[in-house]
Amino acid sequence: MNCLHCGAPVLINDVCSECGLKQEYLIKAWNTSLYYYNEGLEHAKMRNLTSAEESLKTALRYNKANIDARNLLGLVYYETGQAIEALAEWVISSNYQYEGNPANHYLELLQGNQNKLNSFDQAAKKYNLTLHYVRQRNHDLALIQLKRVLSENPRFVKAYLVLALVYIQEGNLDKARKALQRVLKIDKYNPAAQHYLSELLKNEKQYATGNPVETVYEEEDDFPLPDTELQEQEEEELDEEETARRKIREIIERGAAAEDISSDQNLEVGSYQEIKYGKHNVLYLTAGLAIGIAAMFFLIMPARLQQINSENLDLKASYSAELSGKNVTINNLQNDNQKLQENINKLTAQIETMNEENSAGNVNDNVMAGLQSYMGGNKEEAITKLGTIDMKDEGLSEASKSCIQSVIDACEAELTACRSAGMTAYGAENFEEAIKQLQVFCNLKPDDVEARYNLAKSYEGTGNIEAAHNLYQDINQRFPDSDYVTTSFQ
Amino acid sequence: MINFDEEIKKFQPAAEMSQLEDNIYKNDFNDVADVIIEVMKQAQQPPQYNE
Repeated sequence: MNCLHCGAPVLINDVCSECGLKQEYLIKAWNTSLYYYNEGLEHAKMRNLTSAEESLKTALRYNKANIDARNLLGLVYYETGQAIEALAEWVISSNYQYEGNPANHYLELLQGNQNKLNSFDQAAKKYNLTLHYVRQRNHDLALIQLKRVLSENPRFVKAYLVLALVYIQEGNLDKARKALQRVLKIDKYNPAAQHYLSELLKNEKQYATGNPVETVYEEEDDFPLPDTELQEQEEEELDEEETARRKIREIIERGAAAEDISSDQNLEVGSYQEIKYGKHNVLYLTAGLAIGIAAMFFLIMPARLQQINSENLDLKASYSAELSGKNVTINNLQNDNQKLQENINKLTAQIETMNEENSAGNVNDNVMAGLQSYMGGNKEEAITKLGTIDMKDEGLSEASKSCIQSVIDACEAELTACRSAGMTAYGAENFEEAIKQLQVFCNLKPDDVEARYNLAKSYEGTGNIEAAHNLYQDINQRFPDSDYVTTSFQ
Repeated sequence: MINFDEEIKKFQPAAEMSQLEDNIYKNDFNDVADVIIEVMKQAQQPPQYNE
């Protein structure tokens, strides 16, 4: 048999050869340890975690190698949000016995999730910081830190208890009660939470029954008064409270409304009815919205409208100035245009006059040149030069016409030759030559329909459609009964 | 009646990761057997008297 404590052989007198411990005592100690483990297990099953923790710690006092007790203690710590303490218990448990120890599984789970572990560590650090703030009476910062702690570790029972205490200190009893109820959900019989809750309930009952109203917590007095003064002050306070209570009773008996109680200035201690902040919040929100909308309509909107109107007026003025400038420019341009048009008309008239003068001069020149050639005996040249003059030209004077007619009569043979040459050229589709010859002939002999028709055809052949059409039109007008009347060009 | 300051004094700082090793060594306390061994050791030593 080996020693239960150190594993060395046990002597015949039931004493360990190494450590000298009597095995009977060790067995008793181990049995006691198992008893407390069983007790702790029962408590843990009933979610009485504080008692379970105490029992398991006792079990470990009797036998520190009680693996089950240690593992369960770790679980209890973990359940109450003390993950680092749980980790320490499981590490020790794993050191005592590695094989077949569930603590290894717990360690793997916890150490496998580093984020979670960091979160627990941060929560512990913030909780310690919170304790520092609370001891400095810096409750606002403490509340902020506690909310962070509980967001990172929502099962941290100690943090809930501190939160409840801070809320009680701040007079926020509803929130304190909620925090304590949260604690009791995790640790069903947490003595601290039960104590705080019972104190809260006691105070509520005192308020409800009209019994002496006591402060929920002791206020620290920076300037303590001497005993006699303190007694006097207490007596005065008691008198005031008694008076207030008496008034409350009277008012209740009269069945007066609660508003009457609050309106009495002597009653500094109000009724213990909870203020419904939710309802007030809605009212404040509505009032704030109404004030905001009113401010927008009465303060912001008029200024904005005035600004927009002034901008519009400025814009309108600038557009008006620009428009008047443009109108002036348009008037100037119209005047210039009118003047230029008048100049154009004058110049056109001058050009027409000069053209008329030039054409008359040309006709006279050609008549003179033709007559000169004829008098020189060169009849062909005379015909050619006179052939540039159209005998139908209304601008031709009668004297000129009679001179030209005299020459035509004298040069009949040459004119006939000219006609023949034109007709031959037309027949040969030499339209250029035909035009040259027939133009001379038709100018001097405007009544020869066939020659005119062939001249028109020659023009058509060269692509001078306008000249051809003029001739066809002339034939149609002057010789409507002839065979050369053409309607196809129309 | 809850005394805030007294109640707060009961709350001890939570263990942090940086203190885990120390926590493990501190936590490995003596059980009954260790105490008996210690007592026996002291009993075997000769008594020392103050001069």
